[in-house]
Amino acid sequence: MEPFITFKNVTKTYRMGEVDIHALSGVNFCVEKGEFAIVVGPSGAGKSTILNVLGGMDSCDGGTITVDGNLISDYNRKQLTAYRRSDIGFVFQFYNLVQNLTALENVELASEICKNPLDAAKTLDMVGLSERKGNFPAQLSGGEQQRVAIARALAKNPKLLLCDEPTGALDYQTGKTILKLLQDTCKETGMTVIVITHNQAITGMADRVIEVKNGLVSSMHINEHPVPVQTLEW
Amino acid sequence: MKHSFIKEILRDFLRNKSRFFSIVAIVALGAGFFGGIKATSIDMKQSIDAYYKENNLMDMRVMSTLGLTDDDVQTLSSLDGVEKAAGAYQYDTIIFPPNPEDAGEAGEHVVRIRSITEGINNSVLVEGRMPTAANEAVLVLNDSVPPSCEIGDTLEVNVQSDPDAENSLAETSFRIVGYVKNPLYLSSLSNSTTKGSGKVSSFLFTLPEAFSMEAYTEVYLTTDFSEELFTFGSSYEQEMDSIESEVESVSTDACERRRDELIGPAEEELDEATKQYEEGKKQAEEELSKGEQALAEAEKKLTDGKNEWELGKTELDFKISEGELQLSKTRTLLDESKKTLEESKVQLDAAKQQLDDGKAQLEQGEQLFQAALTGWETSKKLLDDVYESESTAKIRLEEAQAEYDRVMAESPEDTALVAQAKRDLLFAQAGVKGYEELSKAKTELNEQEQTLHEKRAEWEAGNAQYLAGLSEYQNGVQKLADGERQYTEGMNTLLQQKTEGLRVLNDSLAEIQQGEKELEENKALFTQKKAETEQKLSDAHEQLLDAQTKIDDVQTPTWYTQTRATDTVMSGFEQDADRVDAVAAVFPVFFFLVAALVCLTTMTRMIEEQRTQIGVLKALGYTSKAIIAKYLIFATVTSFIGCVVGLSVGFVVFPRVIWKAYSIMYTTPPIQTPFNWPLALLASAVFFAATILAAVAACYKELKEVPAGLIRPKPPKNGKRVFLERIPFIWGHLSFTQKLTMRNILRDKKRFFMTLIGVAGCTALMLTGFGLKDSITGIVSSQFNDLYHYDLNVVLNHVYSPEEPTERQQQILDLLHDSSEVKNTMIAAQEQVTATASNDESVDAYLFVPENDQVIEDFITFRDRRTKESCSSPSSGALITEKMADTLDLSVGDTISCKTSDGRTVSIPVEGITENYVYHYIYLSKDQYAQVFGGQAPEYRTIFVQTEEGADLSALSEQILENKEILSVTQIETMTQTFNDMFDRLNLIIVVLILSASLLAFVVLYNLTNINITERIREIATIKVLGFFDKEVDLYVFRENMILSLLGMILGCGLGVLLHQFVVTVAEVDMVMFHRTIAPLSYVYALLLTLVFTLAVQAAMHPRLTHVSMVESLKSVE
Repeated sequence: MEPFITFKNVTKTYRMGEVDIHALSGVNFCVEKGEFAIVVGPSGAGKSTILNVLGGMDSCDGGTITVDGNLISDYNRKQLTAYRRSDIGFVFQFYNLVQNLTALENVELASEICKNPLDAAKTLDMVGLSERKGNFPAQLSGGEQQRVAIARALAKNPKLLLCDEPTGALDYQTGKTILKLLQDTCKETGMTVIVITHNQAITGMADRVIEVKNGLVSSMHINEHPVPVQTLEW
Repeated sequence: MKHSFIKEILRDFLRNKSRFFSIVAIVALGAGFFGGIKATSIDMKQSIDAYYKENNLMDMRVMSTLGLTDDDVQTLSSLDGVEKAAGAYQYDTIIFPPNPEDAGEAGEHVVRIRSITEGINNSVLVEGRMPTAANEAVLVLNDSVPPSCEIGDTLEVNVQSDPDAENSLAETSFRIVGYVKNPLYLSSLSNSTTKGSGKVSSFLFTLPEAFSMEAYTEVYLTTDFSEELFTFGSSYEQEMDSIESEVESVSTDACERRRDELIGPAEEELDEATKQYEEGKKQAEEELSKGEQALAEAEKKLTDGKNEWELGKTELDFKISEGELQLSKTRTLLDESKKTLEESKVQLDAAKQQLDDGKAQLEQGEQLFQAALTGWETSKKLLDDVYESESTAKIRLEEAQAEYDRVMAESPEDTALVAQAKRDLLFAQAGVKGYEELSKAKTELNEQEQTLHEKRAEWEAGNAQYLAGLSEYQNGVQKLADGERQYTEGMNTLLQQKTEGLRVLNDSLAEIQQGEKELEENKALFTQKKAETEQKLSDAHEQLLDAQTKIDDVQTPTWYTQTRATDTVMSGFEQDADRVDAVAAVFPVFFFLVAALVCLTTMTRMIEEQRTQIGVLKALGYTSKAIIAKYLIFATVTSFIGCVVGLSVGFVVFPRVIWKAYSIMYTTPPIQTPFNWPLALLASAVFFAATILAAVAACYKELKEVPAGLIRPKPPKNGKRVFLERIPFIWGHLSFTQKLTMRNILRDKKRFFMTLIGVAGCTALMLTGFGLKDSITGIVSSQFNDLYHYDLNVVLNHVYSPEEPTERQQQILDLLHDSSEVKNTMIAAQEQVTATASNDESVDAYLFVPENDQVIEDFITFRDRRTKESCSSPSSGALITEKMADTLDLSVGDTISCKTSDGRTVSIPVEGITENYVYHYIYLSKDQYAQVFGGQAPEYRTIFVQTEEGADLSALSEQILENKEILSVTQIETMTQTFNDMFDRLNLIIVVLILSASLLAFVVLYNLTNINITERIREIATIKVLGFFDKEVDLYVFRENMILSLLGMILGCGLGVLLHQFVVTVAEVDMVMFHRTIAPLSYVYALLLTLVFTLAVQAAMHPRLTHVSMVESLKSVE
C-alpha cells in the first residue's frame, strides 16, 4: 500500500535577487498514516520548505508529493487552498492566534471553514483549556496559546497535523506538555502528525525521524519504540 | 552624519514607496486644497489691486449735492497725502436704441456717459482707439453681456425723452470708436439711475468737452500711498480714513464757498424782483382804487336817474288818471244823451211806422179808389158803348117797354117775339139800371174821394210832425256824434299823452337799466381785474417766497465721499472674495484633518514596523537624536514634496476656476496666481508639524525603551471585548466573522476615526458638489417652469394706461387677444426700488403690480418653498420674495420700506413671503399701490403672455415686434437658456470639488487599507494557511473597510447637508436664491461614487492580499 505521504525528488529553488538558493534539491521520504513523524535538521537545511510544500503553502519546483493518494504537487492555488482547508492542521512556532479573538473564537475561526469540523469547545476541553475559552490570547500564557493553536488545528479534523517548531517559543516544561499533547493526540485520534524541529533531543518520541541537511534527506529511520515525552531531556 | 546612515535613509524611501506616495498625495491634496482656496481670495484681491494700480483707479470720489468747481479741485488736490485731484463729469441719458431689434431688456436704453480723466481711472483699450473728439466715445465692455453696439455705431441722445440732456451735454451724438475695460466698472450690477427704465444698460467714456455742465459732478482723488499700499489692507484703510477726515475738514469751507457762489446772484435777483413786485403792487392798487371810485360815481348817477324816473312816472300816472276821470264823465253824458236819442229814435221809428202804415193804407185806399174809378169809367164806357147815354137808354127802355107791351099785347103767343121783346125789354131795363147804378157808384166814388182827401190831409199833417221830430232827432244824433268825436279825441289825446309819457319813461328806464347793466358789467370786470391783479400779485409774491425758500433751501451743499471700500461694486467684490475665504475656512478642514491623521498613522506605523531596527541602531550606539532625525527627514521630505506639488497645483487651479465662476458678475482682468509664500509656508508648516510631530511622538515612544526591549518583538496588542458584546441581542445575532470585524473596527480608534472622517469627508464634499449643482441649476427650472407660467415677456415703449391705451397698444392687445396661439395675457408694472427694513441691509428689488389682480395667479405661482402651500396673491399688503425676506430679516406682518427711483420712500406691510429664486420682487395689488403711492397709477409697461401648447413662439414674437410700440419681446425659453449658460460656469467649481473629494477618498482609503494590511500581515498569512480562499481573505480584511465606509457615508450625508447649506448661503450671489435642498439623486451619486472609490481601492488592494506570502506566518513576530 502506498504510504500516506510521499515525497519523490522534490526540489524547490528560491530566487533571492540574483542568487538561486536550492532549498530542496531532491527530497525523498514517506510517512505512514497515523505516524508521529519528526523532521529534524539545522537552520537552513530545508525543513521549513518541506513544511511549506507539504502544507500547501508553497509549491515545489520539481518531483511529486502525494498525500493520501492525492498528488498535491500538481495542485493549483485554489486546490491548494482547499487542501489546506480540509486536510491540514497547522501549528505555528509563534502560535499565530488572532489577537482579537478569544480562545474559543480562534478555534472557531478554523472550524467554521471546513466541512467536517470537531466541536470547537470540545476540542478546547481536549487540550485542557476548558476554563480559558473566553480569554483573549494576550491573557493566556505561551503554552496555553499553543494549546489553543493546536485546538484550532485539530478542530478542523485534518488528515495531517503539521507543527512548525511548536516548542520553539516555549519554556522547557511547557514545551514538553505541548509535545505530549501532540503525541497523545496522535495516539488517541490516529492522526498523522509531523513536527518540524531543530531539536534532536525530541526525536526519541517520534515514530519516524527524518533528518534533513542541505536540502536533502540525510537519513530516515523508524523508531520501533518511541519513548514517552516525559522521559525526554534537552 | 554617517555615510551608511544616509544610505539607510535613502533606502527607507525606496522601501516605503507606497507610504511615501500616500503621504505625498494626502499632503498635496490637503495643502493644495487649503492653499488654493485660501489663495483664491488673496489672488482675487491682489489681481484687482494690481488692476487698480495699473490703471490708477481713484482712491476716493468726492461728490457734492451742488456739483464741484475748480476751486474745490484745487482745495482737494492741496490736501496732505493727495497726489492728484481731477474733476469729472458724469451724466445719465436716454439714447435711441442702437439696434432697434434688440433694444435692451427693459425700458428705454439708458447710458451713463463719463468724462475721461487724464491719469486717473485709466481705461484699458480692448479694441479700436480712444476718443479724440468730443463726439466720440468708447464703450465699456461687460464680460457677461455682448457689447450693445458696434464700433463705428453712432449713439443719438433721445432729447425728447431726456430734455435735460441739452443743458448738460455739448454733444448729443457719440460715435463709438472703441471698447474699453475700466476699473470703475468691475461689474454692471450697480447700474440704477433715475432716468428711463431705471437701469443703465451701457457705459461710455468721452472727452470732458462733450459736457456743458457748469460744475463737475465728481472729483477723483488719488493718493500718495495708493501705489504702495494694498487696497484691501488695513494700512490703506487707515490712510484713507485720514484722507477722509481731511476731506471732511475742508468740505465745510468749500461747501460754504460753493453755496455763496450759487446763491449770491440769486439773492440779488430776488431783491430786484421784490422791489419790482412792491412797485407793481402799489401801481396795481392805485389803479384798482380809481376803478372803484369810477364805479361808485356811476352807481350814484344811476340811482339819481332812477329817482327822477320814479318821479316822472308818478306825474304821468296822475295826469293820466285825471284825464281819464274827465273822459269818463264826458262818457257818462254822452251815454245819457245817446240813450235819450235812442229813445226818441224809437218814438220816431214808431211814428214813422204809423206814418208808413197810414201812408200805405192811404195809398191802398187811393189805389182802390183809382181802381173803382177806373172800373166805373170802364163800366160807363161799356154802357156808353152800348147805350150811348142815359138818356138814350131811357128812351130805348120806353121804346122796348112799349114794344113789349105791344108785342104782349099784339102777339103774346108769338113767344119768339115775346122773348125778343122781353130780352129787349130786359136789355133796356139792364141799361137803365146800369146807369142808375153808375150814378149811384159815382156818388159813392165821390164820397170816397172825399174821404181820401181828408185822410191824406191828415197823414200829411202827421208826416210833417214826424219829419219835424226826425229832424230834431237827427240834430241830436249829430250832436251826440260830435260829443262822441270829442270824447274820442279826448281819449286819443289822453292815450297819446300816456303813451308818450310812458315812452319817455320807458326810454329813461331802459337807459337806467342799460346803465345798471353796464355798471354790473363794469363791476364784474373790475372784480375780475381786481382778482386777477391780486392773483398776479400773490403769484408774484409766492414766486418771490419760493425763490426765497429756494435760496434758503440751497443749504450749504454736502460733500459725499466714496472710497474704494464704500463703492458698492468694489466692496461687493471684496465681500465676494471674503466669501471664498469663508468657504476656505471650512472646506479644507476635512483635508487638513484627514491629511494630518493619515500622516500620523502612516508615520506611526512606519516607526512601529522599524522598531527592531531602531533597537539595533540604538544598540549600536546611535543617539536618539540621530534615530529621530531619520524619521524626521522622511517626514519632512514627504511633506515638503507633498506641499510643493499640492500648492503649485492648488495655487493655480483653484483661483482660476473660482475666478472663472465669478466672472459671471465681474468684468475683470485675468487673475494673477503668484506662488503665495506666506500661505505656502503656513500650509507647509501645518503639515510639517503634523508629520514631524507624529514621527517624533512615535519615535519617542519607541526610544523610551532600552535597545534590548526594542529588539525583542513587541507584544501584540491585546484583544479586547468591545462594547457591542455587552449587548447580547446584537452580538448574539452576528456571525462569527462579523464579530471579528466588529472587534477589529473598534479596536483601533485612530484608524476608525480616520476612515470615518475620510470617507465622511469624501461623501460630504461630493454631496456638496452635487448639491451645489442642484442648488444652482435647479433654480432655473424652478423659477421658469414651476413658478412662472408664461412664455413671452413683452415690454412696451410707453406706459400703458388701461383707460386710454394708445392706438398701437390697443393693436397689440387685440393681436394677442385674437391670436389662437395665445392663451392668456397679463399687463403689469415692474418698478425698480431699493428695499430696506429695520436691519442695515438693502436690496434692489422690482415692485411688481399686476393690472388685473385676478389673473396673476395664472402667471406666477405664489407658495411657500418648504410646505409648497400656496399663498394668495397680494391684497392688503406686499408679497415679497424669500431671499429678500431673509436678507432683510422680514417676516409676515413686518413693514418693508421701498425707495423708488424718483426718490420717494414708502412703507408697505408684508403680507406674505413667496418662493422665488432669481431677482427680488415685491408684489403689490393695484389698489394697494394706489393707496401706498397716494393715488398714483403704476407704470404698466410689461405684458406677460401665456401661449397654447406647441405655439410657434418665434413667429409670434416677430409678429408682436412688428408693432412700433414694442420695445422688446423676451421668450422665457431664451431667458432660461441664458441663465443655464451662466450657471454652467459654476459647474467648474463643482467638478473641482468632486475631483478633490474623489482624490481624498481614494488616498485615504488606499492608505488605510494599506496600513491595515501591513499591520495584519501575519494574521492574513495565518488565515490563508488555515485555508481561507482568496475571496474569504478579501472579505476578512475588507469587511471592516466596507462597514467603516458605510458609516462614513452615512455620516458624510449629514455633514454634506450641513456643508452644502453653509456653502450655499455663503457663496450665493445677492440677486439669486439657490435651492436649499439636495436632490435625492445627488445623494445617490455621492454615495455611489464613494462606494465606487471604496471598491476601487479594494480592487487595487486585492493583488496585495493575494501576494501575502503564507511563509510570513512562520516568521517570528517582528
